[in-house]
Amino acid sequence: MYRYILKRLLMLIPVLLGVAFLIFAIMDVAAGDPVYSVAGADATPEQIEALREKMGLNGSLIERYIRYIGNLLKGDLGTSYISKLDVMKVYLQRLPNTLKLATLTMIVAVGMAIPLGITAAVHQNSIRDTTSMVLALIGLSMPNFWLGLLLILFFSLKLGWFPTGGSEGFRSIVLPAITVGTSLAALLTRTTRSSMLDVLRQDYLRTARAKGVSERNVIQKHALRNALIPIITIFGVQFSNVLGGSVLAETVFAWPGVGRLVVDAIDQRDIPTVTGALVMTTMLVTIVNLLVDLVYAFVDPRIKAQYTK
Amino acid sequence: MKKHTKILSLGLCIVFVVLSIAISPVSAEGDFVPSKTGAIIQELVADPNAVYQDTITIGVANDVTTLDPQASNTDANMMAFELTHETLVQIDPATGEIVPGLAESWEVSEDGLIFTFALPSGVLFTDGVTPFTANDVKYTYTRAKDSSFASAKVSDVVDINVIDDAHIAITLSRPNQEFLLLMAHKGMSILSEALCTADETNGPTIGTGMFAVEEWAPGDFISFVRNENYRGGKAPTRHIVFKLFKEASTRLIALQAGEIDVCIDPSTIDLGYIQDDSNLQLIQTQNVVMLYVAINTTKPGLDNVHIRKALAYATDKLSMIEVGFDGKGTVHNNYINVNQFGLKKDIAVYEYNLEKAKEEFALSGYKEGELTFHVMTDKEYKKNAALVLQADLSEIGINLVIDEMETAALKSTLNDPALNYELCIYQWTDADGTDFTVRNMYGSSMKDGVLVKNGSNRCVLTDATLNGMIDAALVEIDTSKREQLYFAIEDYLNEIVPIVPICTSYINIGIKKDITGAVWRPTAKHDYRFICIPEK
Repeated sequence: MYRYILKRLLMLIPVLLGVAFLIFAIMDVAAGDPVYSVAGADATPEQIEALREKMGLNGSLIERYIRYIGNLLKGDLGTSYISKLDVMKVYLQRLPNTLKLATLTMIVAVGMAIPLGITAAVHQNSIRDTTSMVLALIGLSMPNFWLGLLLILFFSLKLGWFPTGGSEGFRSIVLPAITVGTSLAALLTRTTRSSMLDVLRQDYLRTARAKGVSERNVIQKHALRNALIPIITIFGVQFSNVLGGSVLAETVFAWPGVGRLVVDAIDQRDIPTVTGALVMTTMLVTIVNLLVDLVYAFVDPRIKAQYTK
Repeated sequence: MKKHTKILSLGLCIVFVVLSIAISPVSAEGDFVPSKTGAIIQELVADPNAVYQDTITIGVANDVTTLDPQASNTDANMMAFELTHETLVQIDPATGEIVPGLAESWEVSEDGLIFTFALPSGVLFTDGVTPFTANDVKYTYTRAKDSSFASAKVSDVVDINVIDDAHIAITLSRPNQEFLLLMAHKGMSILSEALCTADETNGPTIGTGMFAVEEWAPGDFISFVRNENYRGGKAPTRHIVFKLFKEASTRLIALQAGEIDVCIDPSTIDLGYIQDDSNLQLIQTQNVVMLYVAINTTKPGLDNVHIRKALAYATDKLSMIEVGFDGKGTVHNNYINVNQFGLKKDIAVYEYNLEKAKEEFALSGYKEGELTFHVMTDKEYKKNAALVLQADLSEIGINLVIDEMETAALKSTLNDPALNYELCIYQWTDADGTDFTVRNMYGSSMKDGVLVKNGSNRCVLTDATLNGMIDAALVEIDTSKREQLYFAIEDYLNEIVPIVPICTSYINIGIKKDITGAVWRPTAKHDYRFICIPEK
């Protein structure tokens, strides 16, 4: 098991190197030289060259990449072209907001999706099933920014329960978490339902019922546990996505997360911020994926047995 | 009876004066001071006994990106520098005249070459310990020469002589009637030599202004705290916060919900909500964001004046205002900005006329369909304007391809010496110095025996005749003659059509009704130093 974890952690190194190179290459071929967008219109050729060197943009793509990786190994993500602030510091300033939003979003999504999915599966083709699926469809179809604005209008402006935006205190996270969580819950509900339906048809559930196990225990202990693998997979993917930032929700709710940091940096051609934030996010996503794989082993002993081989 | 009348008159006078004082601290309905600059001034009547709300929160659309005045020229940053730093002189928003800033007074030599400033003593930077001296002015202006954002403003400065701690003389290479205007630009904010040399990153963030930076969370907010030792008296509000709301609807709802006190640039379709809300007030003024089509006059086809005139005649400015600004804009036909000195109001107009455009096209010698131009745009309203132009140009046989770009990519393409663009829907936002505008937008400088376009000369004009006209206007002391020279420059530009001016729009700001003390500038660089809400 430990060897498996170590192996996965070592795999992180080529992944990070690859991601950093890809970002470097993409930003290099994108339109416009970042030096000219940072320098003022009146910059002289001498000022441009001095700035190019200061920004670390002298040399070929490979040279710059090697220089970047060297600094990365020392924990240095560079300095923002725009704010002149340390990228690591800026990223770490935003990360707690993103982690808080991602965690609460997933709690909202799971809290909505699992009961709805189970209800729909257990009462297949009933009104409860239809209602659950219609709710899931609505959640899936509603654009985040639209739902966000509706929630702000009702809960912030009309009722005054939550602030419209910002990141001050727990109250400010509720509406963005519901907004993002609702759309994630939709997919998770459908996955839970279909996974549960597969399991509910299995013989071992019939056997459990025949042995007199209560229906509640049949569903919770036998059916749900066996249906969890695909749900965990979707959960892991969604959690990774939210860690990368929910740009629309962050914009609507003025939530200073990693997503907006990256999008703003792309708009400003702030390569160190884009690269640094994406490298750090890749690391986080890889760790989340590893944790998901470990949860598989916890949930299903057969997978655990494979890891220990 | 006579005695009673006198007493009654005196009593009425007293009542009137008392009522005037009670009401005058800028009423909720907006007691605006008239302005020649287009600014809306909410004058704050000094009242030592008044109590003001502790914090004013301003919902902004654009983030502050740097706290170094010489490292940027965006509106968002300029508004921060207005709070934290001071320039030697400043522009009176009511009259447009130059008035003292950090300098107490100044004298100009007879030949117009030497400006001697008298500086105050006992002024401290907002770190509370570093004293301001004349050496700081010298350091600031010398540092500006290396800044790609500030160097153009000090390009005529050839010598800076610190006479003593309280006097400094600045010598120019030629008389410059706009030198003081340039020195009033926030990019010329005075920095501390001691603080900047000790800490290159944080030193420039400290000025002598009415406020100091308290906390900065990029992408979220920046807060400023009042400088309790400010020599001119304290600001009425203790804390000012710029809170970033990228989404215009959320920004407005935050104002309606009372979470912020000012909403900058609400969406034009939402302005009715402000007007309908009895607690809010809509501030609206014509802006000085001059939208124009920049024509790279060196590119084949565009180097032909008839093609450029055809473009001018084919530009449907009213439709562009309609699709870009919901009809809320003013057609602009001049080559300098609104409210600028020397604006020729009766300039010959290229009215929207496709027949005349076709006639000019026929004179160019090109055939229908032979020309295809690319136009760069970076914002939705500019793209919409480009779509209008595309439809009209197709009517006269010119193909237009719209290249949508991110702002940074567009800026870098414009600034790149390769000048690899043909047309661009762009904007000019400076409205102070006419010389600064014409020199930057259309002027060129001699380098190694060759004329090279100036920084913001997006039409890539290198015209020695025009340069001569610009130089002549700059040094002319007689105001009316100088005005005539700028009229002539506008006429000259109107003949060669290096750009097609389109329009200016409006600045919209939603504020709480009780707010007073602010100066809402048409440049969108608002002055919040005296903004406040009197406690009731």
